[in-house]
Amino acid sequence: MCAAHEEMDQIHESEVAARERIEDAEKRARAIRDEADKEAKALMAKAEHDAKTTASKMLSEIEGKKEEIEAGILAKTEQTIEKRNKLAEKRKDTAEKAVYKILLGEV
Amino acid sequence: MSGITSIIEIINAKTAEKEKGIIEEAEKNKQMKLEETKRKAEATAAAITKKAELQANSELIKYEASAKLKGKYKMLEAKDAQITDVLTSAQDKIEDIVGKAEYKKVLARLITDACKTLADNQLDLVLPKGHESHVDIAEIEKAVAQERGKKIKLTISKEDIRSKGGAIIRTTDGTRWVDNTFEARLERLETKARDTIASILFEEEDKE
Repeated sequence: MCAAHEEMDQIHESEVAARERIEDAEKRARAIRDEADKEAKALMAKAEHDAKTTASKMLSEIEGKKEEIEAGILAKTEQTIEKRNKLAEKRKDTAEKAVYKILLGEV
Repeated sequence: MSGITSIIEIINAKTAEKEKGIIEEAEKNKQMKLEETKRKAEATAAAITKKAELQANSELIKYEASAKLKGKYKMLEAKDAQITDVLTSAQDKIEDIVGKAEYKKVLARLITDACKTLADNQLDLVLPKGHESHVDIAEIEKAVAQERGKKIKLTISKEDIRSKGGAIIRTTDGTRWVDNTFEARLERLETKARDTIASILFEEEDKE
């Protein structure tokens, strides 16, 4: 009778220990889940932060590009104006004569 | 091995298996969550940079268009300066003829043209002060009569006008007139004159 008791006690103790181990494992699993949430949050925040930094850099870089564009167009315009002025200079006399005639009713 | 030992070992083995399962499941979930988050993070980052890229491109396109427009205005200003230059020079040349033999011919033509337009038999001429000596009334009357096939009587008005040259030709009742002073002609014909200058100076290049 005593030996049977002892055996039942041993089984009970084993079951208690097993429950504790399972509870402990569940605790560790919760910790793993919390850690996963934390890591995911940090991962997302870092990606957003990095992307925003890249975006901001991209937008600030266009100021330089704007100046480049303006300078290019201005230089091209000046070049065209100079070329046209040179050609116009040669035709001014003809134009002047034509206007003279218009204003004095010769045409 | 006794029966009790065997039972305890079974309990321990099952516990270890369950324990392992719980942890493995948690690790697997963690892995899946992190992979999913990584995908979402990449998509979010791509959306942010894409938006910035589109914004930057759109700003650059707008800026380029605006710079081109500025260039066009600059070009137009340069053209306008050339046109004004020619017009001013022609005006100076016109004003320079006053008092010279050519002015007499010019004045006669301006008066004759106005007489034809007004088509009246009696007309008054209003001239700048001192310009009467440049008008040969009889010659103009003859020229107009020849063109109209009808005689005309021209009278120089006692009034005078503030003008560098030319004349106002009006009916004797003053109801109709043609202002052929240099200033009035320039005002009337400036657009035509500018268009003519522009076509002579720039037409070939504008076609390019």
